[in-house]
Amino acid sequence: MKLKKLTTFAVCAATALTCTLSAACNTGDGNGIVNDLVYDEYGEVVFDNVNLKVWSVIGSPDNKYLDKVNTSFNDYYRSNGLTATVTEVAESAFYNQIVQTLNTDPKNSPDVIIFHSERLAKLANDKVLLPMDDFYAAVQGNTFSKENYLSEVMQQCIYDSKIYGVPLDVHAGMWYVREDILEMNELEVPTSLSELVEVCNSLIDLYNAGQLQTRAMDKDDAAARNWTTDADFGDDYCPIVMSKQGGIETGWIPQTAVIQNGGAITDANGGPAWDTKGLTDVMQMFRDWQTGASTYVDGQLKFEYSGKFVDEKNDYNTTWSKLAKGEAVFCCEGPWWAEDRLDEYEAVLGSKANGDRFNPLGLMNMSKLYALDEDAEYASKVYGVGHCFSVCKTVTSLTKCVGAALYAQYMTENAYDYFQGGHLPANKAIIASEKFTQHKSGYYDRYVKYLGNPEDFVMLGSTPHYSEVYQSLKSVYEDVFTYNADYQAMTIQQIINARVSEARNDIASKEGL
Amino acid sequence: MNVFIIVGIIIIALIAALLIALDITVIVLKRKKLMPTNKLGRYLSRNLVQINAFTVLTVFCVVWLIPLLIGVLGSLTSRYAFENSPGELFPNDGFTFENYLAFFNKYEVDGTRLPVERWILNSFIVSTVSTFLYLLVAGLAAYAFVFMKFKFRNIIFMFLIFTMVIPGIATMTPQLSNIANLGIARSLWALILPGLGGVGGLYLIRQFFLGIPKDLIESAKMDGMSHIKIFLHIILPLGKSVFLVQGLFCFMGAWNDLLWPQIILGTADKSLWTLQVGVAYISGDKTANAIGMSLASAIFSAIPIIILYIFTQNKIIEGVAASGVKG
Amino acid sequence: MERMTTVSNYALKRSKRTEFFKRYGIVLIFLGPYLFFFLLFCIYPLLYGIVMSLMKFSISDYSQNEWRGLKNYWTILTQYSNSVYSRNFWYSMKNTAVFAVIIVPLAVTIPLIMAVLINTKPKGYKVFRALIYLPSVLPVSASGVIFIAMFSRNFGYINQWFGTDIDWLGGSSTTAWIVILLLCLWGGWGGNFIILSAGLKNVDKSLYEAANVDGCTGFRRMMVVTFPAIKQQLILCLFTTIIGYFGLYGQIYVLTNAGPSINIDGINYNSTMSIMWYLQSLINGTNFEVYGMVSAMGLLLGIFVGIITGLQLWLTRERKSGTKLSTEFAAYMQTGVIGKSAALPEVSDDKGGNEK
Repeated sequence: MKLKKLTTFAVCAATALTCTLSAACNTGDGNGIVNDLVYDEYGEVVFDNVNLKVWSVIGSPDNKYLDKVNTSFNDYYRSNGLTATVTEVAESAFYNQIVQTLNTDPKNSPDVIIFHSERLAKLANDKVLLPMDDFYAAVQGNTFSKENYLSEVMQQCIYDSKIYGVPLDVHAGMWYVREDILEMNELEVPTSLSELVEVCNSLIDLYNAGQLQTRAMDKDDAAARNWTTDADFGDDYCPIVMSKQGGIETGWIPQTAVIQNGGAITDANGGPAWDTKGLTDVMQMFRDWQTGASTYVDGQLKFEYSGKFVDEKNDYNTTWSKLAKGEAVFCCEGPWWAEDRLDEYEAVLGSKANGDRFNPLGLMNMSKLYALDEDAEYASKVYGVGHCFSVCKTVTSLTKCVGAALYAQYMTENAYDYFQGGHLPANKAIIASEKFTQHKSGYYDRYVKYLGNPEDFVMLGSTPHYSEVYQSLKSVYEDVFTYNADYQAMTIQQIINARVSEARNDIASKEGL
Repeated sequence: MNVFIIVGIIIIALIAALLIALDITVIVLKRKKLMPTNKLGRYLSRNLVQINAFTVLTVFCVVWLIPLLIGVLGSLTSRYAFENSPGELFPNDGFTFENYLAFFNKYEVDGTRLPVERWILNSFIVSTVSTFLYLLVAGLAAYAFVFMKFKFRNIIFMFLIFTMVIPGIATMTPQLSNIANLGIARSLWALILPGLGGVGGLYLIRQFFLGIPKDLIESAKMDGMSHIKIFLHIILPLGKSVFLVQGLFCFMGAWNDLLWPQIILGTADKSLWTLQVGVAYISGDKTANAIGMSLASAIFSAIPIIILYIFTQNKIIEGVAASGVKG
Repeated sequence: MERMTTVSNYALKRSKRTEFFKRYGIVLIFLGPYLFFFLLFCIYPLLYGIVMSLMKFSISDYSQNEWRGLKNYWTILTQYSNSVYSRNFWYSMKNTAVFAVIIVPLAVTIPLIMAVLINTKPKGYKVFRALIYLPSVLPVSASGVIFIAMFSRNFGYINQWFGTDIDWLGGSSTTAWIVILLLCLWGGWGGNFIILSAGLKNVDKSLYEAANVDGCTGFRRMMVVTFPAIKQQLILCLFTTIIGYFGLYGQIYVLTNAGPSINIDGINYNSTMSIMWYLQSLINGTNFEVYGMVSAMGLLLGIFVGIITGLQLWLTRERKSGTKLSTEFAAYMQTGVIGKSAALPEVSDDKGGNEK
């Protein structure tokens, strides 16, 4: 009796195991694309009420400009039966969500995604995206070519020699500057690292001597808006805001520091290559900015400081408030805030365009800002991040694929309104066109031109190990600025070594699975 | 240190000293048989333990409830007070409901409004449906295990107990694929259905059923009642207390659950979230100007449970005791 | 001739068949739904998980799925210096285990003391009982937010009231763990409290009377009579608390999200990471080939917890609550033999074998 029970149980278990085995080893449906292209008498593709579902990582405030371009796409192609609807998904969830949804809920997954191009290699590697070369080839007379786009930015969108994405824009973090305070104190907006140090030293000296003229951008308190030399900001005047935690600058400053001193972020194998001497020196300089100690490079005195440049009690909440109070003069934030901030400051403090003496807020790009050797050819390079359009693997109809490809092409070639959100175009034709530089909103002259020369932008490099390479570099920056006593006791070299070996180890573990 | 803290510590110290003095007096007097026999004396000698317990419990509960007080008062504190005069239980500019209003009007960075009412609705649906279904399914199953005789009955139950050993952690990843394959991935069923196989509640209900006298069932069977009738007319009324207790546990568990909804539902489609996931998401912003609203959302998400609890807490405790928790 | 059978025989067989089917049919109706869900959502994922853990499993690109045998387990158990998975697994296991060991005595003795106090039935003990249990009823996200408000550096109530300037949640891992511990102590032992209260209530009154007759009262009575009587419940509490704290997740997610970062021997870790948090972070991350490894980790954790539970079951089964001696005595009276071998056949109704 017992034996029988045991054998029946064993048989059941064995069958269950084999069932699950076969289920697990299911390699998934082959997901072939069905060729359902229909051409009309002009040789154009016929779209029979094709609506593209687009997930976009672009959030507020620049999403409204993307919507404008999307609307114009719909207006243009609607008569052909092709439309697109854009949904925003928060960045923190986007990259996990895409894969989960594509694999568990294909019915509700997007057809096109707008995302950061530095992630493209990983998504393509995970077989999330479709190569777009054939889609453009299917449209006769189509003028799409990768030469139309900036080479650095296009390079990010190419994986395995195929085009997986079409770049839309490129941008980098900006330094927002209280130009009025600088000009009132007869200083100039710096254009390089040494000039920045000089200006900050002067600001601190003036403050210590009680002669620093400041005024607050305060829409409620009229008295605070007047120029005064008596503003009390404590014992130290710290002109630069760099946040301890949670700031957006971790994604740009260390990367630019690497590039401007001759390094690259990713190596040929997709691993981290940012542990350069340049990074060590610049991070040490940042640490010195927090303590006021002098900076030495290669044993030689490079910079001396009149005081602390960076206050220890910063976090990303104090970024704007300190700038507004005049308690700091430089802060780093995303370029998409440019329009709103300029509007805000100019509404309260006036502007040169309105006949006032100063522009209260100015913009500075990061070119040459961390370059220890300002004459080097790479000193003006800036780390750039871009957005691109890609097609998801859940699209099985070739017609829809072609529609998606045309969507990407249209959006990236006609995005003039989009750049009002504070980005630079990746499409060479747009860069050269007057519709961009003379856009009716005037954004180019007002702030977009300060973003820098698009040719100067250097990207992450194509790697499927995006998070390992990029996040660990961000962590280096956080470790240098953190309150945590453990990290304050470590040397910069130790911090960098720990993070880069962590990145390498993560990659090795992942590949060794 | 804040003056209230110092005052509080002094008061506690005084109470402790008084209590110890009282204890020593009574014990010494008792020892020496000098205990006065008037009403006070008799009361003290008989209830000394209770008096001690009462005092200790009172002091403990006062301190114990301070965080809850902070939570409630904090949720009524304005953002301005948090930024400029933090740490005041009773803020200078008075109490305000603005945090609760802000909770219902919270906008995302990209301008869409957080669907808070959907969250409440989702939590409510998931909790009530899963409670009801579980009581039904487990009740039937427990009946089968106790009152029906069939082959393998005990082996199957042993097996169930055996699987209780393995925590849900181990099956998290394959459960995700499982749910995806079943096609319920992006719906509330993904929260309701997996819990219906839980063994803990079944064990509790079965334990209770075991305490029902067997002759009652035997006589009903002899009267020709079918199993279904027995279940409906005898077991259900008798088992009210255990169903209430288990139902409460189910409801609270489903309402309060954070880990599983977070993993299952994903974060893109916020209208599928439960209230807990939403509150945890909102509380990610730990700054002064957000904390008031986070507190409001937290208190709000706990209110239904607290209300439920106030009305049923006696039953819970009596119920657990009655089911004779033998371990 | 054997083929011919009497009507009564035929009727008997037929009624046996239908009765058999009727009986099992009704069993299926009662037991079926539960077993269905159990098999579908408990057994199937378990088997699937075992299979997953023996493979390299990517949920994004199925063509990468390959059989790996025990390699994932091998990596976790032996490749501590090479594999980040192994390192983080053991680090978070260590965190979780140390935390469980620290909090479990507290999470059992404090409710025990409270239960004893309540059991003396002072005035308004029902109110006290309700108030003590109340924080355990709150959802973790709610109580977590309250603690964030209390322990925040710049505006937290604790820092303001005590005049300190400690960054509790982000400054150092010690203070972060302390806050997590406090949160668990505030909201995490209600269940134990109830079980111990119920246990104390159920202690046989005759035991107390016998003790009183013997002159054993008060404190000594509590130690000698009450505590042994609730030993079952104590052990139950002990083990369920340990197992429960191995699943520590919500408090960490809300309070610190496994921060702050810590550097040990040149390697960075998330200092308040628990094993559940680590698994969850892998699942919600952007590397989709790790699912096989995550399953293996989950199963290892499950095995570990299972061992602890098994230990508990073994410990509680060995001691029968006080009837061992009396049954031996009864057996002696009947059979004249002293000792366990003379034990009467057990007539227990909750473990019955195949009854006819």
